[in-house]
Amino acid sequence: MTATTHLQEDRQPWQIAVSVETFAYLAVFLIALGLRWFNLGAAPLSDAEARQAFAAWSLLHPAAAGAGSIDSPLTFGGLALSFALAGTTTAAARFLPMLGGLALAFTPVLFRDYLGRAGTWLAVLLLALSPGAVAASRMVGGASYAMLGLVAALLAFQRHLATQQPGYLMLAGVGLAASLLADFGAPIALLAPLLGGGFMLLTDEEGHFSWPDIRQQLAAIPWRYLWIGLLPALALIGTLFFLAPAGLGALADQLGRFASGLIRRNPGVPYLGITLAVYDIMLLVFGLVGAWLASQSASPWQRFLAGWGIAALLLGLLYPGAGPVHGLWSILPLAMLSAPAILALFEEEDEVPRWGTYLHGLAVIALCGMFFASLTRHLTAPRMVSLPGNPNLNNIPLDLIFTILWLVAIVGLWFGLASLWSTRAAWRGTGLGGLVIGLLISMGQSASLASTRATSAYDIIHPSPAQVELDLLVETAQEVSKLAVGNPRDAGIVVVAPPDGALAWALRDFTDVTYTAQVDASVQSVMVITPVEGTDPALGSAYVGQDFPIVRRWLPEGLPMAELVKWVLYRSAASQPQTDWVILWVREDIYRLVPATGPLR
Amino acid sequence: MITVLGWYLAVTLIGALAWPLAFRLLPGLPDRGYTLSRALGLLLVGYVFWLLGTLGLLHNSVGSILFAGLIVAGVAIWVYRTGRTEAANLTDWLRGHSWFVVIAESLYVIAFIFWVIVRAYNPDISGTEKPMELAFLNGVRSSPAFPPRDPWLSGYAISYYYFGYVIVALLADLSGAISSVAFNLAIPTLFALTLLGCFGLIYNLVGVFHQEETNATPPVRHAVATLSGLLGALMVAVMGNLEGFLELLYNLNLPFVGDRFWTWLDIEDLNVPGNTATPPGQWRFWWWWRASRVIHDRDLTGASIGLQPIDEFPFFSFLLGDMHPHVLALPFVMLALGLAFNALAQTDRLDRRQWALYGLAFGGLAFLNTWDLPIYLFILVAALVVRRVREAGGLHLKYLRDPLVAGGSILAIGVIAYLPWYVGFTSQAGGILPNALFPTRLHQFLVMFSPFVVILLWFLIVQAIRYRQRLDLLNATILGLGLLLFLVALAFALGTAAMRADPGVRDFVFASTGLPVGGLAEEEIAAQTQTAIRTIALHRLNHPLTSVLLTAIIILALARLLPQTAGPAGDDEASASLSPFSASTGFVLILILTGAMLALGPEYVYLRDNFGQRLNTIFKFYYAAWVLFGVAAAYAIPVIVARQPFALHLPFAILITLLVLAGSVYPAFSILDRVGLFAREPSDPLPTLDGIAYIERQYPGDYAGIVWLQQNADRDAVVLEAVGGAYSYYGRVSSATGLPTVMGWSNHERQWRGDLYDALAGTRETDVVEIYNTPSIERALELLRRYDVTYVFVGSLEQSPAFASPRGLAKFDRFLRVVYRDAGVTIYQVDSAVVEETP
Repeated sequence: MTATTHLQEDRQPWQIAVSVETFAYLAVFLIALGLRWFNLGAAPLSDAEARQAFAAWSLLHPAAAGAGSIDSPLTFGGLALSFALAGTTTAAARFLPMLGGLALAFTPVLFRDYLGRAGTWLAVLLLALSPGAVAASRMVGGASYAMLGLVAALLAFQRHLATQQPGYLMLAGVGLAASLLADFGAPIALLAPLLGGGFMLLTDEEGHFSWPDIRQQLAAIPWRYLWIGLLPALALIGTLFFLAPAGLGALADQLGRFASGLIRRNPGVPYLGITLAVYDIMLLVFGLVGAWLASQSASPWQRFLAGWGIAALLLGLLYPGAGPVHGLWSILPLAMLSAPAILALFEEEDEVPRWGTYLHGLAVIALCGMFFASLTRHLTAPRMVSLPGNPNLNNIPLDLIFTILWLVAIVGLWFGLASLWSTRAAWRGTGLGGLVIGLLISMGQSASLASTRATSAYDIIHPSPAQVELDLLVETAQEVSKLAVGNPRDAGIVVVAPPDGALAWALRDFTDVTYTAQVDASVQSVMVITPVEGTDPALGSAYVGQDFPIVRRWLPEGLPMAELVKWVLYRSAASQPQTDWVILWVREDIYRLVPATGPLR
Repeated sequence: MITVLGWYLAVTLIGALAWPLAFRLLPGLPDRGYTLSRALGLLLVGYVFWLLGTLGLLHNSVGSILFAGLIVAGVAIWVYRTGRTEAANLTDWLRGHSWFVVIAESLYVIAFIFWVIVRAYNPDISGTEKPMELAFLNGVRSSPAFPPRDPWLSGYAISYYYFGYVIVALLADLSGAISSVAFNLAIPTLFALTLLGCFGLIYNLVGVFHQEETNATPPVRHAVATLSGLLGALMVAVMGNLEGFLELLYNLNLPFVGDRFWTWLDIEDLNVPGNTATPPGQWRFWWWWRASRVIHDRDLTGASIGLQPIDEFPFFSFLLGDMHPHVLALPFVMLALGLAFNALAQTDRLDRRQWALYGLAFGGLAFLNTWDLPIYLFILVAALVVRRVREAGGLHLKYLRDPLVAGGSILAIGVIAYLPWYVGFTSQAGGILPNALFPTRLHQFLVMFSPFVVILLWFLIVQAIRYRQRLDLLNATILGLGLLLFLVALAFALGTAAMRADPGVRDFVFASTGLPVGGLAEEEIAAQTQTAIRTIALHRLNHPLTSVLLTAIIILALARLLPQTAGPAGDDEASASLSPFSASTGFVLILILTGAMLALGPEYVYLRDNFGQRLNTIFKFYYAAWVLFGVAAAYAIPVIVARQPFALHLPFAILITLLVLAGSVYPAFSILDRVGLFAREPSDPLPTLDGIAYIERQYPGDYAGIVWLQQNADRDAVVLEAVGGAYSYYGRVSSATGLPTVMGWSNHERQWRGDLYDALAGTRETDVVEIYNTPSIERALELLRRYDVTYVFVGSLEQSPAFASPRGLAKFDRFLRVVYRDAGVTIYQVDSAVVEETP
């Protein structure tokens, strides 16, 4: 008996049930935490993340150079809290979104009454491993908070319907406020469960609901309590209890971004459909199957979930302003839909499609093809990778590891087929094999996003990532500063860059940084940082320069089919990412160890 | 096309947001505020957006506008839901009035699209005060927060009633229109909103009239009210004064209309003898402009004075296309009238929520066009008084207390609601001056108002005859003549005081009455003063007709408003049956009374402003009087038909037809002239809504430089450009970009800043000239530093030899960085580092 089937059993002696379930959740928790927390601060903040971090930093350090902008009032508040408690580090900037993502992975537990014990655990596992959820957890942003707020609002509303207590409506209002304050796309996320509710009512064939009853029930709800929760929460949380009145303006600006997103895509941001298909294909497949099954169910909850999942998916695909992190809109309900679909594979049903055998055959052939392709690639061009910020984990043959895992998966699939050997066995084997492979792929992708590909431009799920070379630039600048003024922070630096981007965040600890649009012959500071252009800038002294890539961006647009397949499989392509380079210019007298006061003795 | 559609949808959606609020708070209006909801929505969204922006809670962004819209929607829904005690329900009302909604929406759409087409044929934002208005619009849009920056006085906020520009800016932001297009979409919007507001107001008035005074069946009532509304919209917002008709006569050169007639009429440009037959298209350049100058003031020597009264009317404003505050306020004037009528017509007294709404709407008038606030607040208070008269069946002085308290409270709410604006606003008004020398000649007054005045006189006479038993002619005459005598006495007292206190005034009066000026002994001055006063008095006595006509109108209106029979006070229910007239007739009598008082006032006194003449007072008072008379006349027509003997219908119909036709000559010919259909050349530019496209055609270099600044300049930048006269091309860079310049049109800044101007502007005008002309880099740097200039624009005006020397311009290349140079235009950036480093 496997652990999964063990969990499926409804009733167990208290001690055993608790211990196994607890163990299972602990295992998932550790995996989820590892994927989200590992190397959290290793990849520098991107431009978009840095702008938000600077806004919070400015609140704590009003005299600081960077201005920043509040994209999400809730993220702003979280950042301010993180920085106040843990200092202004990159990891601190990402810490609360990481916690939010971790909490989001466990939100199916709140629906345990509907999902069942095994279904809940499976949904948690799927969310814990989902590359989309992992990526969103590792970025400064409010998408995870928005979904948490939504879930809180849904549960509170459901509790109100069950108990008629107005306090739950106020809680729902607070949840909605949190959601709206967290992310500009929150209205879409909120719309999806509403449509799910509509789907549930429209597909009611058992007569659970009648429209007059629903109208009467809706009219009887004391909506004012919702507003009593919502409006003060918006005002108080949005302005950090009036410490930052601009937060309300940021909420309004979010509304503007939402409206703008209705009609145009943000340049440089990949289409949500691509990121979902490439990173969360397993959730898509099992989630859609689950949605189909749930839509046939007599259970209103199942139909609600199906409607929510499909609506979230469609809205995400149709809303032009959606970015990769907004995959969370559909990832959460799809994970909860996938779990029953997966569990259905274990049910002893005689009726299975006849074409299950052929599907199984095709799956085995496809998997073998992929395996050999990977093996060939690994043998001809082995990729030895090192983990950023972790010198002890260099030169890992990661491809080989994954290739072996593939092999294990295929064997497992074959085993599943061989052990039962019938149409039902084929069907089940395909499902289970797909599940195992999907889980492995998800885990592999998530692990890569957390480690080896944390700054890869080919991983479009984190668009325009800042490059680790920024750390090298900072280290060099610190060394030069030591030479020039005797400490690593106080040398003068003139920077041709925005005062709140990735570069500015990397330089935030330097005390004498001037951001400007241009430099000219009047500039004689110890260091100057300029973008790489056709000609070197005319500065007021002799300088020596070293170039560093700071941001890379890439989109899979216009790729030929072969390249596209290559990118989907290996996240690499012949077309190079567009790179923003800067040159760190060091005044020649410092570089030659000749201070301005005269040669060193 | 998409921008036009987006603009239309923005206005319509904002109206839809506010309609539940109007529906609940305007129960006295048969249309439940449907036709006013767009104006109400714009006012409320604009207010929330402006207030939260001013308090620093919102940024000046699209999101903030949407946020403000959500707040308004939330409040509207809350008010709608919490007031659902009455049976009426919004959806039921819509179902029952679907044809009305279709007609109202069609009227709005047709008017909007029609005027978009008209604007597309003459879109240029040049001449008159359009550049100033574009500057304000851009200033509002480019300011990160409120109050908005003044693009023509860098470092300072706009000191003007700028609320209308905030409303246009929010529509521009929502629809994504650039400002020069938004300008040309705003005018059609104002046109359409004014038409819709008129239509709705008159529909409501006539509807209430039939409800209360006739036994007409609902379909008949609805049909008559709808037709009256459409006719009223035409009369108020489309019809012109008779100048168009006279222009046609003049250019037809009919044999029976000789030179003597034109000389007697004495309208400038038409009083030139020897006219010849001229086909349309070849009439004088901008002949239609003359319609705003039909009042021709001459002093006692017969000399024409320099600054003639302005007598604009709504259609002229739309035709001219200036986005001036009095035009921006028009839809909100209709809203204020609707609210005032609702206060009179609704069953219950105003509740707290209505007080708040009224405070915002009437207070907003001051922020939109300050002149309108006292006028329409007076109408509201008068409506509340009439409400008491209707309740009690008569007038008692104690009935004035509650309306006055209500008016004062609404004023207080309005002032508090817009307090942040009042704090930074400098009023141009500086007291009251007497008008002793220039009585308006009756025939010129009738050229302006006769289509309305004739109908109103007929209406008042019919009312007087039919309700002669109830007229309080004695008290009305006492009040009417009292008002006239008060004005005469006031003018006399102010005039004699001014002559004694100010030698300049005395000399002006002497010169105007043909008496010698200067070198006079005290006795001679005293004697001449007596002579002048006598001469002026005789002159006024010889030209009494306008005052007599207006006083007669006032007496007739008052006589109907002050019924002789006083009912029992306090017992409202018992006295309601004694109502001497319907709410709508009472309201229209207030409009007539107010309009006549507005027209009568400038016969004797006017508000002191920068012009020192009565032109602005006439302008603003006549403008309001036009609206009031127009609405009243449109209401009067169906009431006259319902009340007068049948035998009079035919002559009345003929008269109305002739008057409406005569008033319609102006719009018909002026539109065709303005869009150039009489004489359109193949080489003429294609229709466009971009108001600065003419710069691209005439000054391509300047245009490219302006576009560069629009795309690249920082929001906080200050741009330096040539300084020059008003109503000209000067100030074009700041106007088109919204980037503040050191000094724009200086005389306008002086108007807006009043006594503070010298302290604020200092030597800016000469400093700008010096920056461009001085060969000294040090001096130029000092001045650039003083005004925190970011960019120096050197374009067509700056390179004009009349403005700057080549040597002065050449120095910029030596110390400033060129950030743009093309087609003869150079833009320099004043880098802070450079400024600091250069000796």
